[in-house]
Amino acid sequence: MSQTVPAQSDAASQSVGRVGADADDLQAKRDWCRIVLKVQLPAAPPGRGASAQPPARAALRQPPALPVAPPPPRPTQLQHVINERLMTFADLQNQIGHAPHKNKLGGAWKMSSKYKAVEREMGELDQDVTTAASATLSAIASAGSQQQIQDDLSDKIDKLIDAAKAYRKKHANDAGKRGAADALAADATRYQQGLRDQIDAVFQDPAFANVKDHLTLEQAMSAKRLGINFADCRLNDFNDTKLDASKSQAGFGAGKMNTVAKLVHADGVPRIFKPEPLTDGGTAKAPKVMGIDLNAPHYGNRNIASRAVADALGTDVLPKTQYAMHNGQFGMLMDMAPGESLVKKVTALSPKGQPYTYKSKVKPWKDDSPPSPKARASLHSQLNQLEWCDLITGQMDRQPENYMLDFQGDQVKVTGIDNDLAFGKNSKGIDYTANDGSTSPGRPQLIDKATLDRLKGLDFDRDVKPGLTGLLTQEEIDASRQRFALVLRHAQDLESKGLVVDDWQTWRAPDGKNASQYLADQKGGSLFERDFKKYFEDDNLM
Amino acid sequence: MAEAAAWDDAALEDSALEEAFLTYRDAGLRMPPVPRELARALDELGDWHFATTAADLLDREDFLAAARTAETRPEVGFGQVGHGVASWYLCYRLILDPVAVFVRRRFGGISEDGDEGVRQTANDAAAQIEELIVLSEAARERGELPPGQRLIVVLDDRDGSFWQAGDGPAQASEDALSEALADLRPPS
Repeated sequence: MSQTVPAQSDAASQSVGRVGADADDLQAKRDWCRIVLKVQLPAAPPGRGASAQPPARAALRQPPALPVAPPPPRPTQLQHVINERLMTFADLQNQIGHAPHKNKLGGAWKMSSKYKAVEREMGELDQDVTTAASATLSAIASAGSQQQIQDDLSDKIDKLIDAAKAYRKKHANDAGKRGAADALAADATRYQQGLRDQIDAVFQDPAFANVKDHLTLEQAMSAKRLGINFADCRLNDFNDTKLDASKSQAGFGAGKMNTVAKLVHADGVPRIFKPEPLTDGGTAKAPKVMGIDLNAPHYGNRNIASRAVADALGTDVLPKTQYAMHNGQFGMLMDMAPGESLVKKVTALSPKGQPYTYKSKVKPWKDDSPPSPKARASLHSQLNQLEWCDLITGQMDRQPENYMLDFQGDQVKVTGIDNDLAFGKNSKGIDYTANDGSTSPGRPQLIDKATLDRLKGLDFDRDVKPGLTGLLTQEEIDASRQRFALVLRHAQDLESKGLVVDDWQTWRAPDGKNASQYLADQKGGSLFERDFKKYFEDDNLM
Repeated sequence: MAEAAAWDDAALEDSALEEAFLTYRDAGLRMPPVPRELARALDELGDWHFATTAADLLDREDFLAAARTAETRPEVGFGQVGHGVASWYLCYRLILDPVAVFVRRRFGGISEDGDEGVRQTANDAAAQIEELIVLSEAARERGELPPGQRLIVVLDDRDGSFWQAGDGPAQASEDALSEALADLRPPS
């Protein structure tokens, strides 16, 4: 039986393999729809399928698009020892790439009538799901067929469950077949229970009108699985029919995991599109410390909420972000920040004269064109605004590559990017360190007067919470409220110590130091001290 | 090399090792070396993440603590990990009896778009690590690396690179791998 829903992620494909997994598995509950929309009968009857040999993965892969150059020649003895000791790329290259092993069973299965009944019901369900899921929302809404779709699919699922039960009864003495039938029935039940809620979530979204002419039911359900509110979708403006292909660029990024595109729509503004992941399979420490649910990380929502905090503080140091669709995928569409990060490629020569490349912080201006006093003041001001935004959002990853700098004479633009690691439900404090996986500099040591004034005028529930609601969980909003109170207290503490900066060019600390000198003398707490102090000292800009 | 003999074609098929090789190869990357005794324990922990333990591949401090503990059991892990559009790294974490390697190279972010130099450097490093492993084991056998101590090599685009032989001084260098290799090679 063929898969029913195209354009699913790799992670979704893997979920097929979860059929038969623990029915109480949290992820399975979240992925209820994905599992059943993708459900397939095994090539053999349940309980026997495990013996079947699928084609080898190596044989299914396309030839590599980027051939790997051979290693440098080595002394024979050294190569021999390496071969003995290690599984290396070269070793595997010799082994992998063969034709698929022949199916030892020849595919000649004798199928029982009960098995065929299960297969038939699944085929019909597949067909119905395909038909229903490919209808556009506007067509369904205008025909008033939402309820009919729910009822029809529910009936089909009932029949599938009945067929699975009959199969189970026939094979009551075969633990493998019994288990497979139980798992199938459990998956189908879960799907049935969730289906109605999921379709309701689509049609009852207050911003349904934003998307109804652009999405099929399946796409809309996919958005709901990703935790996307239609209010955050700008599909009228940002869809592939309005794309300027000559200025857009797919594969804007080298990594396979990081499939990023630069998109330019009718308004001519370049933006970065990143598909929204359903789950986060990583083992990084920070998201776990923060309490981000890796089964439903909703990183796009965290970026949108971060910008809402920046808006509340009256700054644009975080980019505008919304959801869009590109190539049938939902993703985050972020204004492309101008300029470059501090981190750049450096090429050097090894002692043997071989070039090697690494990435390192590099001074963001040329020796003969250091930033003017006005530009330095602007840099200070915006770095400080970014620090305060990050403190409120609980941002854990403000490494040097995660903000962009654009120097244009006296004008400087600082933009924080990759705002995924924010708003953890566990982030109730404002002091996180590298031990927690944080790369942010910590509590700011100064506060811009405009930022202080805005901050003191904000009431969390009145002014901040509305920008977070619907994007974050209640626990995450509650943690944000606690954090906000601590941020306000820290700001008032700095104010009481005379550490409020009204003019970054002329300001002096109580001890007479200017802003650069004062921050340079502090241990941590500022992007300036971490990332710019050296360059200011080298170029006598302190 | 009993393990090596047991690691035949059938064992490789559909293994995490095969997936790792294919994943790296398809990206034009040389899969970093996996000691044969760890090959069976290698698991696919996520997309682009292969390891024998669940250690965080980005966590340098955790690696250093493990590498500086004599009792740490052998482990290997590698992958491309990160988040967002710029925060991506090609990582490798290896701890063996005489040697420990940590690699955290920026790779896959938008600023590395199509950067062949970054890819070539990653591939060169993978080949060098193959040599580092066998040469460090030879050095241990020659008694040049005292038992309980490791040669530690860190290649880190984020917090800087260094290498350190046993309880000797940490030598900061962006070319730490070449320098450590040069230190290991017996004079010709």
